[in-house]
Amino acid sequence: MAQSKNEFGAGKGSFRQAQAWLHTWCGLWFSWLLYAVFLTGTLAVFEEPITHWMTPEHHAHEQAQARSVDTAQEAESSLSRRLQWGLAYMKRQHPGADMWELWPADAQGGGDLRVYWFDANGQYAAARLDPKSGNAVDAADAPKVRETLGGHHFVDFHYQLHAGQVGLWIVGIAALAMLVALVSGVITHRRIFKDFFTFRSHKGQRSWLDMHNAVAVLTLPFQFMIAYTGIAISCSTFMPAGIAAYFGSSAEAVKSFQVALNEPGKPQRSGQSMPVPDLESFVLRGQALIGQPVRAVVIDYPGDAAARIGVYGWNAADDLNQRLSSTSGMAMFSAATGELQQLRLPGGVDGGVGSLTQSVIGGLHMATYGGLPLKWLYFICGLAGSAMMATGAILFMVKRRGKHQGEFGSSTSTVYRMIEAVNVAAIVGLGIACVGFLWANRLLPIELSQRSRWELMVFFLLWILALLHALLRSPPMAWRDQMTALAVLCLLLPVLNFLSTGDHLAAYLLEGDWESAGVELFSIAVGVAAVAALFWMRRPKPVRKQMPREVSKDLSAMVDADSAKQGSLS
Amino acid sequence: MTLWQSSLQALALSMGGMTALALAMDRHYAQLKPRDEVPAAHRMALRVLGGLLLLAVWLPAIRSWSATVSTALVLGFWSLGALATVAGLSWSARRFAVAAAVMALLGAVSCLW
Repeated sequence: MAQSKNEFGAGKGSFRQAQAWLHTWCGLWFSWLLYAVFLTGTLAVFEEPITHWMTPEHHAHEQAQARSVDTAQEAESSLSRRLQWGLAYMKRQHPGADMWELWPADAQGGGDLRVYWFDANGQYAAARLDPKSGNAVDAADAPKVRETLGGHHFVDFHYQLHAGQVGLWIVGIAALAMLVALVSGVITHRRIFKDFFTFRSHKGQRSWLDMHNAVAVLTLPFQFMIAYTGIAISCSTFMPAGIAAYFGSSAEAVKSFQVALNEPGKPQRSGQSMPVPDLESFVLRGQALIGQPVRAVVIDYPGDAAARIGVYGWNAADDLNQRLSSTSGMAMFSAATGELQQLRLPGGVDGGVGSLTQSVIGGLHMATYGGLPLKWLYFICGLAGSAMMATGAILFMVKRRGKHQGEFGSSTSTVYRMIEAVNVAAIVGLGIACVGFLWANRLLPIELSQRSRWELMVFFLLWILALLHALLRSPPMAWRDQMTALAVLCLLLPVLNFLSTGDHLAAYLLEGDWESAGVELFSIAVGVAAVAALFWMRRPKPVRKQMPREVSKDLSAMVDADSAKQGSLS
Repeated sequence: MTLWQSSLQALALSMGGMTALALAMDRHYAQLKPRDEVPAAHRMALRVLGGLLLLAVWLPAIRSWSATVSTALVLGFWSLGALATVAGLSWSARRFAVAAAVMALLGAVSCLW
């Protein structure tokens, strides 16, 4: 790692020292952002359970649906009726739309009947039809549901920071920096095999280094995979040259690239009108060809003679235990002649090896395969990755306990103080923001307009407050205060849920609602861990052996003395 | 065989394998027996045992998932087993070594059943 003051610098010393320099600085400046990306990305593994917990008004509906699976036989005979109802609704309500999409039933032939279309503004629009009568379910009749981003907040934040393309680029660059830090870290780690299973507790800096090494080295395959696939998923954004050469770089060109990629062979409108034929025969042929029950029927240019009908299948859960590519089957027919135009078997792609690779890379990153055990593996490895960033950032400061390395000249102690504050806000503050997001979901009034934006606002406000707090408090107090806040918010989350919705953990467990129970159990686990961390920070400290947290104290004392001299930071 | 049963078997085998590999190293062997070095025969035996147990993680994985999917899973289970080993050896080497041996045995037997 960074050597004595004289040897400090990028090009100084041996190859390994140069790599250590790279690892230290590349790691430090990106660790906070990467930690945020990793922690939210880890939570995003369980996007659906989090969304489920955040939409308690849906629980009754979902339970009713789960019960109706038993009566699937009765529903099965009505697939043709469901198709007719969907088609009739679209003909009546949206005759001019460019695309109709019917989701007639779930994989068992029961469940909801939904329809989607592109509205006049080119936006995706949806409606739910009553599967017993075919009439549209009036949104006003449905119980008022809280508007929320749900678990998708964590998905969006971890790859776009809620900032669209700009955020995607920032995260992409950070992911690249992570690959650099991983490679340079492996080179720097001289005793990678000798220390493979080593963790020496109660040894101060040594313990932090052991922990940093253990969580990183032991989950290295996962860390490489997740960073690499994370970049590769968005390769068309990060490496646009190929697309620009063939299609150009205007917005129109990008759109035509998307069409060529996702909808190859899409016909032009013919201008001749032709009513949409009865869908059932297409659906039955499609189901037989792909060997899956129908999930969606997509009609391009309905009402035109060039219309085509795509039948998409449901993947069974078992299918995704067998393959990495998560695509479902698809059969595309000409509406006029009934001729089969395209066939994609489950797991296949349109467009050759490149597309298949892309599909597998996407599956690898998003854990679409392998079922729940795999999601847990991703979750634990993701937490290990977050711990890698956090311990790295803490280690940076622990190493500089009480002794300047003078990297920033005369303002070194000020910069150290800032880094310590950012450490607190990035590591514990983000935890507070995440659980605060769940609190906001229960506390904000349901009628609030733009409610989901307010939830997001609470997330960012809490995070900013955490940073301000960490800048104003001395580092040891900042760690303690924020850890206390995290513990309280996490441990009281089930209580808040009970007071606001009347649901509680015991009921979830009795009903077998593992998604809601999982969210609250994990929250309690984090709360308990935060309490343990608090006790650990308050433990009596031996005089000679320096403990990691002491650094904060030493440093704050040093900084205080220093700032008293300079009068720059209080 | 459910996915969870296979996962438990894979985890047990992985923990056993990683613990055997760890105990083949002087530092961790010394945590059990106050000696400076692992006797050569023990070292070899522990390494072979560890390697075999880690390879055996494939068995439950392939049984419940396909060859491609289980490649990803096996890497994950190795990581998890190694993390557990580090934590366990640091907590109490002796107790953990016994627990890992029992788990590896149960995992192996239930796989061959």
